Amino acid sequence: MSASEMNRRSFLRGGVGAAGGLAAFAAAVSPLKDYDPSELSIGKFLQKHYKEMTKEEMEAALKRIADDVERRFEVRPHLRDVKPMDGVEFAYALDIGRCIGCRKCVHACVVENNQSRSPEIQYIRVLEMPKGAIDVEKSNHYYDHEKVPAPDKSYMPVQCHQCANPPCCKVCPVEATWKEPDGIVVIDYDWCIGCRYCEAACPYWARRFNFAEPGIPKDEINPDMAYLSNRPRHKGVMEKCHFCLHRTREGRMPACLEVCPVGARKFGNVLDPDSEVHHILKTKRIFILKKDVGTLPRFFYYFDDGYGDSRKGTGR
Amino acid sequence: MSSLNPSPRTTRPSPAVARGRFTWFLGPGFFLLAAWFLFGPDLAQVPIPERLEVTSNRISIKPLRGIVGEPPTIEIGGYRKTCMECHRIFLSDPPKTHDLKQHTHIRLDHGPLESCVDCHDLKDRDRLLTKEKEKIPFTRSSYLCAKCHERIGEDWKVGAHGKTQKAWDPKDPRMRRFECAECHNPHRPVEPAMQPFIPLPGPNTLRMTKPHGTPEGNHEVEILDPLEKALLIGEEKAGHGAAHDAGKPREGEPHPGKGEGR
Repeated sequence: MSASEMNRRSFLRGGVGAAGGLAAFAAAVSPLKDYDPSELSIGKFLQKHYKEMTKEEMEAALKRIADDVERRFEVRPHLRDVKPMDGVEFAYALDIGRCIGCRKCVHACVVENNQSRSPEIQYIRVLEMPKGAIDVEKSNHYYDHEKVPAPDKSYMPVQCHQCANPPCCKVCPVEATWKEPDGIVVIDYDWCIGCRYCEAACPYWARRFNFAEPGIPKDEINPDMAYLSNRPRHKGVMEKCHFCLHRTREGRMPACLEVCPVGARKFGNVLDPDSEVHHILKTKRIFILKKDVGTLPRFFYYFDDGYGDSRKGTGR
Repeated sequence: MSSLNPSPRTTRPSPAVARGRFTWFLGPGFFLLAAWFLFGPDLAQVPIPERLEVTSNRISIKPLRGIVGEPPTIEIGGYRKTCMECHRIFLSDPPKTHDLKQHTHIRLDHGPLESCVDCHDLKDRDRLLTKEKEKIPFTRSSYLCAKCHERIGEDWKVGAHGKTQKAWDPKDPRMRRFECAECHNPHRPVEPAMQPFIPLPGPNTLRMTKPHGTPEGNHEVEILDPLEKALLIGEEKAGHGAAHDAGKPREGEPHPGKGEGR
């Protein structure tokens, strides 16, 4: 059979091939039908890495992001880029004996940081363990008691430890996550490619991935936003605790600390000898979670013993 | 196709032509498939579990107890009065600790303290009074507490005990440290500062299996560690227990300290 000859068989064969190819192409491009053309923007496409942006470029990016937030949630945010303060290195301390496992911190964090309500994303995980030893192997964070604290249980909230030697930053192939001068490990949500290497690298199970477009009710958006912290994310990027940097870099306390009903959470500048955390790190018994992995966390657990149990009224 | 069917082209109807009768629908079939991919329903839906609502009053940042301000006021008969507005007239000297006609909600049970005037100023009811006759406003009552509770007072002053809000820098004027009385009842400190209460909902993400410790499952944690199993079985042989399988949570067996609240 010559190539130029067109008979019934070659026509059918060619037709079937072309139709199959077309179908494969249609299947490949079918996700595009969900694409909203209003999201298309040259500015977004050409936006540089956070560290490479000039002041003007950052202004333009902030305006574009604020417009995007307003289009999605009908709220005009107070969006800014908060820089670290000089002479400040943050540290967090948590009194592990005082925590009652009420999960108020978890939900205050969700509200403050515009986390997706559905599907659910939470930065803090409260582990419940048998009393007596810190054994995360025997922990459970799905506990659902009628009342907390449950008898013979102890609680340990785990969130991003803002390591001084962060494995998550080492594995990022595009440098979308890095350690800031004040110790906070941040993510440029516009630079993240969603490969989830950092999630796998984190020994504290602290990073969360947006598997779907975040679902946040429009009336629950927190308009107090910063570029590196709680501005709404999109599908396909990582997020995690950032010590509420839009609050803490302006001198305020993180949302999880403000809500804690037992005062188990302490936050401050570790370089300031008058600060709460400086005093705690110097005088209390400190426990570092997974110390042997060498991540040098900035999040410490401490034991404040010798006063009795304030929950049982036996404190002096 | 032709390699599978190496018949020479002849005039008789070849099997290929016979197959052609059935292959005609392949083209339109693929077109239909293409149209379905483009305009049909989504092939994969991300399953999203139900959202658990948390009302904003459950994440309030207010202190557990309200304290009287400066000047201290109290609501009596629908009116806000400072202490001295009444006590200028009702001297109640010496004030009774038991069998009160007013302030009946107060029951004094504070260690060696037996009288109101151990802490309150008899002459100026808007103030507290230390043993050194130092007048202290109610908003700074923690300094009075620290006169006796010295060690915990030191911890409170540097922020290791208690709660600090609004600002982390001790030099920041916005910083607010809760007074002792904003968590503890100064008249009845034996009363627990915090009663057990309902926790906020836990993670409601999709998961493959029910983890141990779910409400459906047993609250005991299953022992997986072979070493621990071996040690437990050794204990039973020695006559300390009577459980038959150490791998499963043991029920009905007295656990040390598990009696209360179960």
